[in-house]
Amino acid sequence: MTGRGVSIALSYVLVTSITVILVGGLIIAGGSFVEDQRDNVVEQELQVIGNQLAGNVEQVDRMVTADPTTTGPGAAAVNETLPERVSGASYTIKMTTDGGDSQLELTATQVDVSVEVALTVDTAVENSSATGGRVDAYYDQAEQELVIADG
Amino acid sequence: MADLNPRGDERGQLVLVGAVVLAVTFIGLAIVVNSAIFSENLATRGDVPGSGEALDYRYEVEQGIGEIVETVNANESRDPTLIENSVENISAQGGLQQARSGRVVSISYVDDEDGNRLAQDTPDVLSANNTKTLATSVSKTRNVQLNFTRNITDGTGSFELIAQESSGSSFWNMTVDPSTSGDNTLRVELNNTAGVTRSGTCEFGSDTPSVDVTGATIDGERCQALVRNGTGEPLWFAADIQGSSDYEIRFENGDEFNGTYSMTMNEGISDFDPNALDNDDNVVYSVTVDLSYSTSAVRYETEIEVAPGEVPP
Repeated sequence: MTGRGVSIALSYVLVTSITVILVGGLIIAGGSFVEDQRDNVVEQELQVIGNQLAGNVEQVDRMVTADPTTTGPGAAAVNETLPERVSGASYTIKMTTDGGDSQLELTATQVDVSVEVALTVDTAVENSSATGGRVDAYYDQAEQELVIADG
Repeated sequence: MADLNPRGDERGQLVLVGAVVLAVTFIGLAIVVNSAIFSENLATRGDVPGSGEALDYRYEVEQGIGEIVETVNANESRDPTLIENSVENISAQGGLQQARSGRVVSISYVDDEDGNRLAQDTPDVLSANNTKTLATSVSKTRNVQLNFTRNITDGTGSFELIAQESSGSSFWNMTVDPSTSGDNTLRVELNNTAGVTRSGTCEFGSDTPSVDVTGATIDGERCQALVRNGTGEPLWFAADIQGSSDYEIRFENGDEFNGTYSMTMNEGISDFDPNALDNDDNVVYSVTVDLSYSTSAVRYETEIEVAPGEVPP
């Protein structure tokens, strides 16, 4: 007999507790690791998408500034199909201007991640927004402003 | 140690449940990593296909129409239908070529503007008197060329080309300073209504320089002072004046220098140099066309006024 002096019930409780602690720890650590990775990936993806869209807005701005007339071109638009979701989360894009500095603000809806991408444009920017998927960046000749909208 | 569970086939449920939960968690991780790989892929993509080419095509059209303007001006008959037909040709040929790359383009003729060419094509003294007014009430000038045919150090003083605002105090002044002991200097000075003064200089070795004032070259070499100053502000011909008000163009000290000159102004100028023999009031100043460019992802429609050798507005 090697198990003398130890009750079966106590051993059971001890081993079960240790297993619960170990497995629970693994699950908590693994879960938060995956959660952190997801936040990082969402942030990176929003950065990439923001820069892609900023490139399109800046391209439209170049088309507008290439036109020396005061009203600008009759039509200048670039559209691109961006991912509809980032790591399973949908997102919104806002184009805003603040004291001469224009930027795109991308916010994921289900995770608390928001990214700002600066825009380098000479044309005025209209406060406008879009969601993931096909996004149009265009020049509104009547307002003489750059706009983004869902395509 | 005694068995924790007398029935051996039911051992380890906790570990099993934990493993399953962890497995599901890591499947989630795989999805997240996959998503990261996709965003890396997205990051390596360039601009939307065709978006950069829209401006390239605009530039090509400007060059092509510019050639048409030059050719029509060189052709004595100046048949006005020549321009319209040539624009249609460029549109048809360019359209076919671009269609192969999935782009739909078209150019259509809108209008052309008549102009005056002021020139002295035979080398002679640049002006009979010290001051010569070439034209007044000028609103637009393009393709200003000056070729000195006699050694510039043979004259006395400096040669000046001036664009002076008609009803204001703004002026743009280009001075050619000959030097007998080193490189000659071209100096550009600008003084606008806001009281801002800018200047820039270029040095050149030749004593018989050819100055392309609007093209910003001296004997084919770039002269930055005819484009912008050190801080990037405009210094080109009639900068800050052309586009906002009328101006006059004159030579100062032209009687000390020999050479040829030519420039093209829009119609409506008055008092243009009556003594120059090679003036021509029947040239094309500019041509306006409508450009339309579209691909599945890009749309660009604009009106382009092509005036070859015109400085920015």
